[in-house]
Amino acid sequence: MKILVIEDDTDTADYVAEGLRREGHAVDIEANGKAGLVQAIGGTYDVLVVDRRLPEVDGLTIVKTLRGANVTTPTMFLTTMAGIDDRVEGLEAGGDDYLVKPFAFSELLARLHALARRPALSEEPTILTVGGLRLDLVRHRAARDGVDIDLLPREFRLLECLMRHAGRVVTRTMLLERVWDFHFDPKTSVVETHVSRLRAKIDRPFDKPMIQTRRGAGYILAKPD
Amino acid sequence: MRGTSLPNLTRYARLARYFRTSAFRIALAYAGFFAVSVAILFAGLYWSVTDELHDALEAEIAADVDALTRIYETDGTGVLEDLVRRRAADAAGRGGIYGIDPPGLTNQPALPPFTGWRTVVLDDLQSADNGNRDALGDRGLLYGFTLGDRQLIVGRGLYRVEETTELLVDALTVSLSLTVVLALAGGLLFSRSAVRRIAVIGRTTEAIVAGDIARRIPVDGRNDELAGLSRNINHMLDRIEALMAGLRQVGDDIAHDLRTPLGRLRQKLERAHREETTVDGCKTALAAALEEADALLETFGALLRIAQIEAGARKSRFAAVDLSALAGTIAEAYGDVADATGHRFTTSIAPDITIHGDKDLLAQALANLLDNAVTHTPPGAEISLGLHHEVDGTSLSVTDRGPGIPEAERDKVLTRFYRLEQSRTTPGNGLGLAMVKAIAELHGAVLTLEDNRPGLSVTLRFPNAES
Repeated sequence: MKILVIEDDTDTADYVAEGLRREGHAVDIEANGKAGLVQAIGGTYDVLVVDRRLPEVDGLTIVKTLRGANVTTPTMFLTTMAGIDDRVEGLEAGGDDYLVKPFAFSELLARLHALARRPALSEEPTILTVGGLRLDLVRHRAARDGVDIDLLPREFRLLECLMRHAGRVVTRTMLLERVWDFHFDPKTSVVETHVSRLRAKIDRPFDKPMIQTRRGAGYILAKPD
Repeated sequence: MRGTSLPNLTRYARLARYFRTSAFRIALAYAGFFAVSVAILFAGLYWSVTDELHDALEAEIAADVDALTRIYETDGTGVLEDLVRRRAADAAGRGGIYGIDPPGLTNQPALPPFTGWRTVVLDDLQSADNGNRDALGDRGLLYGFTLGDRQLIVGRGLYRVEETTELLVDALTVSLSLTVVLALAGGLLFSRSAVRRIAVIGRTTEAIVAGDIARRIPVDGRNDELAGLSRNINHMLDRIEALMAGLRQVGDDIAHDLRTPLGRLRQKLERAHREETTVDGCKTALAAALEEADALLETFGALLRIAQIEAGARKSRFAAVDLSALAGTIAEAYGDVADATGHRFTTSIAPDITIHGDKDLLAQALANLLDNAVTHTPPGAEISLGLHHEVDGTSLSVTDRGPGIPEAERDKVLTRFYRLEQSRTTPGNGLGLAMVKAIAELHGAVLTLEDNRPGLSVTLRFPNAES
């Protein structure tokens, strides 16, 4: 992926860029809001990572301007502004995701992948397939290797979320946000419990598990080897 | 020179300040208004009284004219002439005026002959008898007419009318000046009192700016606008003080309660730095340190969130929240958790309950309560989630059959970082209930912790939107 990081703190910018490059992405850095805006409009990026507090032009204005100019590049705010209303403000300005500093790099990476792979609305598939796993989004039916699997609504959404990002890590917080619409971190194992239920239905009856746990990062659903 | 002029100057300055106050200006306007109404009242009185007196004089004159005409008709010119002469001599002291021409027999001889009514200035006439002037007054009302070949004048001095007018004007002058003086004095007095009370407010705010945040504007029993304003300012100050105390509390909490986990983090890093020699050993130690750092960051985040909720930050985003649906979602999410931990989880959720609030925060409050119930009760214990209509609102409750919280501790567990002795070893940062309390207060809900005999019952009571 080609990623633009607009961030005035050099340490953070280098940390992000270095990590992303190691993952095989091309990264450009802009430390100034105005230059970043120009670069974002001119360049062809797959994803933008934008800080909110920037010299000259702040991040919120950058995203608003881009959206005003019909630039739909997926954008993630990466900011220390952790106020209760700040996230909503960022998303209302046209941001696609909002991550608060300090953050775990694995979280950033997982979210960036999820952003870049988001298909346009018109290309939204009605059936998801990963290996032998098949999810019919219209009829709300799941099957693996031709065997129908009975899923509760929440389990269905959990599986859908994992399948949409198949082969990539989906973090616990991403699941909480996308499956339950929880914007806080429960102290108990809500995600773990539901993933283990889902496993019992889609993995246990078959020889090869598809859902893997990445300790400290999240879950991956992938084709069994 | 300087010593004497200075106090004068400040006195002028103070006086000038009174004149500038709106109270004084209103008093001035009232003074003008009263003066005009007094003047109008007196004018009305003047016209009606003088009119009445004029009418009486005219009637007297008309009676005279009638009498003289009858004498002339029955007794002729000679008797008439005699009578007029006598009357002229007689009437002088009583304010009457008579004249006949020829031969000019009159007590006001210089009057040229005329017919009809006429008011004349008596000074302009050459009086034959100045002794009468006092009884006549400055002007006279005259009626001229002819009987045979004689021209007659009958009249009355306007002394009584003039006297009354003078009285009225005197009274008007006195009461007008009295009205103005009283209105101005009252205004000045009133504005002085208002200025003094405003100065008290000013001094109080100055003291607060200077650092004495506990100062309040003294409010006496009065119930006027200034007292209301003072009370409002005091309320505002109470709120500000509470917010400041909250912020200070956050600062203190961070300073005291975060030292321990920071110390633990440091120990872990130091030990790894000193003792670990293998890459794997270092990695394990770093992972443990990272976990500790994440927990710390989360605690920071929770503290900030509580402070923001307490400051009322989220109220602008309040909307209708389907509490029944929300409780259903949470119950579903936690049902499996409770199953996995071996708890018995039951729900009793009344349908279609909607309140005005913040969905995310309400979800968090409920999740925190269920987190607590699952974490602090032994496996096998029953946990219930209830949402019900009550007479004057809605109650949302999480009850358990665990060990409960001793009565003496129930208030303390709502404060930040407070943890029961028996739960120090379970995971948690001691902020969960503090956040629930903040969220409850933001929604105007009452949070109560009660004995579930055995166990704990936590209830959030939301007031009805109407009340």
